[in-house]
Amino acid sequence: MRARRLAVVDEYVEEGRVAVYSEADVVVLLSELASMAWSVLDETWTDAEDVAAELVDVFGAPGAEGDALTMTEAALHTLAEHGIVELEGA
Amino acid sequence: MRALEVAIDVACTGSGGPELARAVAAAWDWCADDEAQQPHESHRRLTVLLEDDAHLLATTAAGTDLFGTDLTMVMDRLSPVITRLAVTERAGDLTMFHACALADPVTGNTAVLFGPSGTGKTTLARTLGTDFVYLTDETAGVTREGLMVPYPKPLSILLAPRDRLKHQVSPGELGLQPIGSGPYRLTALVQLRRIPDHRGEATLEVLPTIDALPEMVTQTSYTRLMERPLHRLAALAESVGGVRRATYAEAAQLLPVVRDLVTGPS
Repeated sequence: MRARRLAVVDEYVEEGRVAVYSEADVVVLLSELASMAWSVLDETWTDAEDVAAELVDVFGAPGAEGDALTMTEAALHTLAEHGIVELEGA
Repeated sequence: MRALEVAIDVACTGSGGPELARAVAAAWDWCADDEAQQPHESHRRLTVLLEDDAHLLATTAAGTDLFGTDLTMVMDRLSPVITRLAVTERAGDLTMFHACALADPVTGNTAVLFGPSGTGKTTLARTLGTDFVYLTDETAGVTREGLMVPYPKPLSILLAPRDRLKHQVSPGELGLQPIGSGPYRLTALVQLRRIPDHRGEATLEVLPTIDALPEMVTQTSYTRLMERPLHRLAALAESVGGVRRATYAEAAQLLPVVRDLVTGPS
């Protein structure tokens, strides 16, 4: 799976959390994990494995909660549901 | 009249035109434009038709902005038309909250209390506007410098329990405090949270700015036309020490809250 950002109106970062003003005229507050995944992405396609690697660098390996790639893909799906990220191969 | 500093001419036409003109002048007296027209200033014009002859109405309504056969109904519908015209004119320029704005008469410090319909903004204005200067119960305009642009429109009030339409009542008729020479500066942003069974005093909590942004955007007009709207709203919130969320049941509970927020040093 790979992902890329869609155009947004604005974004605001505060203490590691991100608020995104989407083209659908909605402001979404992202969780810490989704905020980090969002910050890794840009307008070009990025593989979920590469996003997961960046998240492991920042947060460390998830341990008992699950594997990093699964958690990353869940975060990317959340971003896609908010209409601020496009997925391919999901 | 002037609404959010936008000069608007309201032309009252039809057989009820004179009656309508008197009603508009009486209800909108705090928005009356006493200033001479500036040479290069453009006025927006609204044509409103009040005609009790339904047949005549049908043949003359074309080209008007608003028409009807009943004075109370036309007055009720005129208020949002004027607001929409003024807000559209100031889009991208002012930050315009759906809010009640009240100011300390001495310092000019102003609290903007924003929230969706049903949170009691008009009731707040009516209840607290006798202690504080009434700036608006509908749209609080704030300049980039943090100064308030008053819009002291009439208050829409049900005068009798069986009334179907709200009456437009001049703030002066309700004994609200008039606007002085100003200036009025934004010193508090309050998100209204009305809980009908809330007991005791109103509670006030400062929200992290990022958590306040979704509701700020929802309760602000034409946010998308602003340059970097989230940053502009966040900066405004930070300039007044953050957005406060007030939980309350009755308007009177907010009297000490607003007093504390606006009586500080200017």
